[in-house]
Amino acid sequence: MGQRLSGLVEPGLRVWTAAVYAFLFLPIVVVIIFSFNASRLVDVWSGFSLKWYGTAWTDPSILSALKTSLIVAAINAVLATTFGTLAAIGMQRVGQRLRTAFETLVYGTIVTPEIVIAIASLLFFVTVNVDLGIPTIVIAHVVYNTSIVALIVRARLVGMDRTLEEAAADLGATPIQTLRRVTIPLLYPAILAGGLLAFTFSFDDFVLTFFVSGATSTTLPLKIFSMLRFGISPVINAVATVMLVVTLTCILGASLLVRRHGRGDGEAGLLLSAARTASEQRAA
Amino acid sequence: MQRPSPLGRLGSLPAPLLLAPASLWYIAFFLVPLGFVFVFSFLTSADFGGIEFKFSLDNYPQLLRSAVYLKVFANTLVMAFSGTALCLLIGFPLAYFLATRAARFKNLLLVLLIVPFWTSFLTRTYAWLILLSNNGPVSHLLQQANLLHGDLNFLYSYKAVLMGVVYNYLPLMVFPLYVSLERLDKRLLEAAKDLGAGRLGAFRRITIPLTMPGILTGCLLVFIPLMGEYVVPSILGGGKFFMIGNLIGDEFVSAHDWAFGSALGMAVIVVLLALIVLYFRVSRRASTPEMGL
Amino acid sequence: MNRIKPSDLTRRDFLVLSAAASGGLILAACGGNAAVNNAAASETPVGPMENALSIYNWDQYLSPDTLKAFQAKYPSLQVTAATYASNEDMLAKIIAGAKGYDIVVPTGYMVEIMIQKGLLLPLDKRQLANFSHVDARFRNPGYDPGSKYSVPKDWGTTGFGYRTDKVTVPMTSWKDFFDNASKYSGKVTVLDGATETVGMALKYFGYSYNSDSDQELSKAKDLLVKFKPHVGAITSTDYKANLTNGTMYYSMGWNGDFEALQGQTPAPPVKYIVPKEGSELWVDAWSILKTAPHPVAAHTFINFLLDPKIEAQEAQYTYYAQAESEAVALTPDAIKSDPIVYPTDAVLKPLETRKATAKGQKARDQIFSEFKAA
Repeated sequence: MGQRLSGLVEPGLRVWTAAVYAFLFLPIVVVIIFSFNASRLVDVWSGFSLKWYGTAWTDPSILSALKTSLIVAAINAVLATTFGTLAAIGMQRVGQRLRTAFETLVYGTIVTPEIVIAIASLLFFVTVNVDLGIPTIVIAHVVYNTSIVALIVRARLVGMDRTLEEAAADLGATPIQTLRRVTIPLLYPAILAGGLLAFTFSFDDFVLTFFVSGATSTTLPLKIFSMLRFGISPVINAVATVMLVVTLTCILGASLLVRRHGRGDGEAGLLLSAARTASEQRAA
Repeated sequence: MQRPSPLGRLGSLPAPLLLAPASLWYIAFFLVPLGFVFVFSFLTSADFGGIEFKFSLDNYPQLLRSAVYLKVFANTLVMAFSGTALCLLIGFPLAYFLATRAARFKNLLLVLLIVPFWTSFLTRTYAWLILLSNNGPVSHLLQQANLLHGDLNFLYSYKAVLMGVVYNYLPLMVFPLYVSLERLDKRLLEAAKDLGAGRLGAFRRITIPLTMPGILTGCLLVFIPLMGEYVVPSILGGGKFFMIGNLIGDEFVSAHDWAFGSALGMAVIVVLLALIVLYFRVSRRASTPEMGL
Repeated sequence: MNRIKPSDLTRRDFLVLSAAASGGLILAACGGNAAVNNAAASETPVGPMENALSIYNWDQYLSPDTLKAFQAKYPSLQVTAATYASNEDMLAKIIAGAKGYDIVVPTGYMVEIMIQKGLLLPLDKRQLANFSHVDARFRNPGYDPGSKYSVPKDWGTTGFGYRTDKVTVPMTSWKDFFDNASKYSGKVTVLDGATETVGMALKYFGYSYNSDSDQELSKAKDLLVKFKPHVGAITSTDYKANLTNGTMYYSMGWNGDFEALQGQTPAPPVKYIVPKEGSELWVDAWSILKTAPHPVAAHTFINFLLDPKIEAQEAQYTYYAQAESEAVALTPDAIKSDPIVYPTDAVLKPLETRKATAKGQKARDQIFSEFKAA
């Protein structure tokens, strides 16, 4: 239920909020708009043009960076989602002490400044003599993103109705079957949302990637940074817009998934599925 | 809520096993590397770069030997405090507004808040270079509106750095504030009004203490990563505002003094750990506010 | 304005010149100071060419036309490029074990450092037939005696350029550069490199660019710290754009960049100065990394680059002086007679080439940190 605040507070806050949102979106809008600017300059609009996208598309170093970014982000998303989901489910079931210890680790990975993790990872890879490249980038990204997925899935798990799992157990499903046929499907929106967010974080990452990438594993943010050192150029705008579109698609997808609460749809189906599994077991 | 579920023992699969993959990954690729930083801070850097496995206690005293490192630390603390304070001042009204909206608007506004936050840090910071350049749209607009005569000269300054910081960290402050404010029972505020407290009084003695956990969390979530900020001072500050993040990065990229860079890294970690401990102490006290009316 | 004739260049003895400029440091270094890791130069077997090549170079330092011509000649070769903005950045990545690069472009003093650290592959001269075109005076540089690990790419000077319409009093020295900063506060840029920026502060006092003296370095530091509040930006890459759009009025930089500005349309009114107290004379070189995965392709590429026609083409893109007189002959007049690219003896005389020592480099890094933190 919304609240109408008294006196000048309500309109004051409205203005304040509008101003802040404008501030937040302004740069994004500008980058997108000027990526379609026909002229090289960024202060004058001289007509709509897709030529900078053309330039970016025909630049092999940009395409290669895009490919690297997508590969890294995808592998990282799969790994982070797997580890994070299992961890979230596990956190619910272990004792207090273990849970607190694990939670500390999770928050630790999120809160440590990226530059510290970056140099730590660099020292690690150099000492154990692992070549810097796509594998090292993925390894480093998965640390942070596992925590993200774990927190998102756990939030969903905490609010979830446990009776369904208990019902499945009562119906004779083994714990693993319950996990597979009831718990995970119920968590499905959160898992997917976490995966998408893990993808975007990896896709957009800069500082950590800068330190642990190798010779041939330039990602899109690294490419932008090296282009950036020579000043603003419309090609950068085009590349940045592409990055924005990819990220926005993932975020919107994720938020839609999380908002669609799994209640009401599919529960009966899940129960049936659990019952079916149990009867199969007995028949065997 | 946390009562052990009958599925607590997953039969042949003990629940801790579910934590295993993530834990192993954390240990191998988070704790161990941090351990390396600790170890390297006691070694010697080789000439022109790299490391020599020669024990040395000299890296830590070097931190204090020249005033510059303490100065960079101090500058970073000041920037982190200012940035956090600005985020709090700007973010609190925003969070308050969000928390008092109707449900359908709440979701929309939250999603709109998330969107800029999850887009590329680098891209957004770079976008400010376009917007605020002396030939950029903001400059033109202000000049045409006759509010500006001459060059804008906003970029490559400390205020540009602070603006970039607020821009990138604001959502981190707003989310916990929002959660706290949303949970705030509005009836308490009504009760205070009934008992004769003015709006400001109610705000000071009810709202603030009850949302203190959110405030503290928000401050922590901003302050800690802000201490290690690297990109914003470099891009928006023209490389002139040297923060501890830049210094550490430099020691690894330009100066190749890995041993000393590790010592700096350890110093940062220690300071941040101290802050986290402080946070837990303070937040424990804050969750039991006096209900004075 | 003196017009340099190509014949002047041939008479100039580069080695003697730099020896005079650096007070014999180069000749001294000639005597095997560069501790070569493995004396026996393991020669790369001349084998089949690989199908890829990875180049780690400064940005905008290799003409796309050259690359295209090379690719046309060897169409099955996949060429990838990555860039860095300072010698130290490049060294950091290589030391950290970034594998996969074949070719790097270190400046002379960095070649010496990399040789010492065993990072470079000894060159197989059998695969570098075009090396014969390199001028005699560049074949035996102090940083790499006998050119065992590097071939010269180009050479140039470090100085500063200023907008003549914004800075109306002519500037000719580092004294002008540093002393005028308070008048043009926030409009001055310096290079993002400890070697250059600290080195120029040393030159302000007339000290050697390569000084390791604590006392002299300390004075340089004080100058820089006093100068810091007036600095507009610390950058090795932004200054061209910022001088063009007038955000900055004068910038420390490399001669080729300022020459490139003159080639812009419209050309901003920028004058390049090699300060009279002296500055750095540098040679950039092509080298192959010891860990190069494609050594044959790398040799082929370098050989291709040593062709005088190609070098002349490069000069028209990078605007830097070439180390082959045949290449110079083929370069358009506009470049080869431009004193920014090919300065006179008088201008070159006070210049020094960099010779780095571990102690001196460390001191410079620390001073630069203090400068940035000031």
